[in-house]
Amino acid sequence: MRGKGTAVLLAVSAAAVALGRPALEPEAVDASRVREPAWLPNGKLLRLASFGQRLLLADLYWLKTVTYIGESTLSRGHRLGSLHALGDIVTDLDPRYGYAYQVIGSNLSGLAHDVAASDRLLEKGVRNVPDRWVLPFLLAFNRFFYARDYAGAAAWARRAAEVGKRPHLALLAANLSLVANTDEEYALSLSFLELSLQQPQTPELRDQIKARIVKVRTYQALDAVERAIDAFRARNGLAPIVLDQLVWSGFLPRIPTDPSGGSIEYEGGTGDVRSSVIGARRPIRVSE
Amino acid sequence: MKATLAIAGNTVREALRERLLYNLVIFAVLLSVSSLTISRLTLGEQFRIIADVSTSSTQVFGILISVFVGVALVSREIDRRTAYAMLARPVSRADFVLGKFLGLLATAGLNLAVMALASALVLFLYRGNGSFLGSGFFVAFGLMIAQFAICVALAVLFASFSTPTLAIIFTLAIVGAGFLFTEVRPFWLLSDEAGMKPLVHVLDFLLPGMGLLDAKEALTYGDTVSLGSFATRMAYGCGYAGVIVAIAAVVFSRRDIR
Repeated sequence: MRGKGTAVLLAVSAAAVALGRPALEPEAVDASRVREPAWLPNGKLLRLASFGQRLLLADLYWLKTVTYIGESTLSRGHRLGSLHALGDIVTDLDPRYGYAYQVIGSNLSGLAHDVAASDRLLEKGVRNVPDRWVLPFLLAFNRFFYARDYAGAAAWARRAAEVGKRPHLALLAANLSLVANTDEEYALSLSFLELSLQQPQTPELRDQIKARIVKVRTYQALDAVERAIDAFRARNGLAPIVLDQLVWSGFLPRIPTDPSGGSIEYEGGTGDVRSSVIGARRPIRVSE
Repeated sequence: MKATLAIAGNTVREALRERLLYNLVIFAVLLSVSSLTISRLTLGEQFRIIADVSTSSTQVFGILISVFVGVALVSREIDRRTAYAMLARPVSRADFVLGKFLGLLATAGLNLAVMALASALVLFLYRGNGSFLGSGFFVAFGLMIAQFAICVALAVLFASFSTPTLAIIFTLAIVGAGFLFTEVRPFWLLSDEAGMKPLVHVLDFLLPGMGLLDAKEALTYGDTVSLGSFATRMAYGCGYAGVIVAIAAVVFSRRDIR
């Protein structure tokens, strides 16, 4: 009797599983869907109510953020709409959480395509963790890559170099200044490189910085000539035949010497200017 | 003093018989150990997750032990009238209160040592070396004893004149207010509202500055904490607890316990 009862129980249970599982398929699909966090509190209020456990709460929200980014990345095409809110909660609870600014800040621009939110979070990080050089570095990347604000990018790169005591970043900042191509940027870049040269460096890096100073000065000289040619062309309708015409017409006080040690070469027909040593001024081009 | 120490020793023995104490300590230690698994869920920063879970579980369970065991032991002595036998001897009520406080504090200290050791072991297992054993580690766990002292003192005070349930509620409320006040204090100081600043200065002395005694961040970020800062905070915490114990002694001395 007992054996029969067990067999009936087994049969009924197995039938329930066999029939019920396929019927639950919509729920199974729904369970794997990425959900926006149902309710996100204000980080500052949460901190008030943390009763001394704000670091632990920051860790819990950080884990939630990691899961959210992971699920969204795997699901492809998800918009990560709550990422900035999560980042704010984590960093309100623990303003010193440098790694959170770094990861959430870079994912906000890279994955969520919300550069303004990324900038806000990273700038908050720079205020709260001023010695973490990677935060101004990421801001420099946002300025350069997304906003095409090369002077802004150069300024953040200089800050990263200064904060992190990473002279290699001074070279990057100088490159960004060359792309920005303004008098102010050339001046800022040169003074920063010269400042970097005064710090203790390896001989290799010292040589690289010196070479970059020469390059910036050469670009600066070429840029001055190019602008004078543009002004000449605007007034006369054609480029000068020889560079001396720029001096005679008052567009340049004198033809600058080539800081690279060569000479400034000019092609009258095309109006192209180049240094005989490092060639034409070719700033990095950012593809659309 | 001899009587006080005898009461303290007896309180420690009694506290160590409490099942609740072991439950909470084991749970705290398990949480610390489980942080090794929890930390695997994160992307980078595993150390801080382990450190935060360990220090938080030690702090939260230490406070709960101090409050619950503290209230239970003092209330039981009065409810079961076992305190009468002691007070019939040439032992003042102040000695009784002080002895209870010292015994409970010693118990909290023992628990803290066990939980800190478990945390150190877990951190050592993760790091593979003892590089985390800087001043941050010792200050983070060391200052918790001052927090527990305040909790025990408040528990003894409230248990000496009210019911156990009310004593637990009052103690947890004041400790919670101490933590909350640390967070709202900077905002209140910035407030333009007249009377806010004097209120803050009054509350500075009325409420326990639990946040001032909370140095968990020092372990998380490996901060160096000066001996002067540690000693000042310790003196503040012990001083605050001392005042509460003195009030408890006065209240208990005046209580009619017939």
